[in-house]
Amino acid sequence: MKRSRCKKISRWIGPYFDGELSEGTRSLVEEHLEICPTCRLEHDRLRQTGELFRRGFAASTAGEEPDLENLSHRIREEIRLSEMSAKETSLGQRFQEYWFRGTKVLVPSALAAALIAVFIFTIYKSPPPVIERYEQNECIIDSIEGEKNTVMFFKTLESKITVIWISESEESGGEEAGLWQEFMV
Amino acid sequence: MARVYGLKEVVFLAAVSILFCFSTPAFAADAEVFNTEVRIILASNSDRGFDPRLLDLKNDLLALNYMSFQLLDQVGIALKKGETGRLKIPGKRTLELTPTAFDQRKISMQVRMTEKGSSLLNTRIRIENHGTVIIGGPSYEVGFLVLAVTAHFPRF
Repeated sequence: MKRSRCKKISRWIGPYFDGELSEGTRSLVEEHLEICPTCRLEHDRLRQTGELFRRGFAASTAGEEPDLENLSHRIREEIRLSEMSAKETSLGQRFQEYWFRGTKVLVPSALAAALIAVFIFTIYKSPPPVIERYEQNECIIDSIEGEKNTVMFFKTLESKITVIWISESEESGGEEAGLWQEFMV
Repeated sequence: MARVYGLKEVVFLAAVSILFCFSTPAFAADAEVFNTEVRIILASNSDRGFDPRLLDLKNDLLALNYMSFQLLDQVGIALKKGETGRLKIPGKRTLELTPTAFDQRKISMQVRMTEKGSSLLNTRIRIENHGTVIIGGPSYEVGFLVLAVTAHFPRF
């Protein structure tokens, strides 16, 4: 149905272009051209051909004898060139659309997300775990050896620092240490 | 209306991102370097007073029941895991520190003190990262040596 309608309208495109149609028929053609890209393309080509013809004719007759012999050749050449440039444009557009399809937003967004992720993981440091002051200096003694000495260990009251005290002799450990006895474990 | 980005721009942004990633410490090789700070302190009952450079340890040092504390030396040593750092301390003594591991926020370290070749102390400790342990007792001049050992293991 659509094809037969296009076939019917296409016969009227030429007269429509020349302004030879009745008002009713012209409206029909115009309505069809609005919705049918194929017929609209044919109409545009017809219009281009007419333009080329008019330009070619004007150029060839500008102050000179009309050169009708080369006119048709020039028109055909112009049409060929304009069709080639149209093809290249569409190829370029197709290439861009194919390779960057969906990347208008996707690629920049992905890159921005990657940069933000890197920034978060490297620059931002998570707040250190809350460590009570007494844990900050926590020290576990796994093993301890002293050949000839007495080794004492305890924690200070202020910062809970572990103190490992080597007493070189029993006498010095008792005298100088003074209140050491209170802290011996 | 979204802008169409050219291939050059995409490649440039990707290159910048990659360079940024590799320049950040998070992606750098893990060197496992332990930074150890040792403060050599003379504790005595003389009238020399309290060294202001030891104010951060004042209350802890005063718990040792000496009246005077003087900072003799302060040394920073950067050690890799398993590497032993040797430090000469007064009285012909040597302090050896060997960090062995970092696990659960604690630095494992072997600490050995020798005097004229014989061992005064040989201990294996696990200290909280950025924490301090005090080793003291060897006599020196009119008092006793106190070594404040602070260990750091920087992590990103």
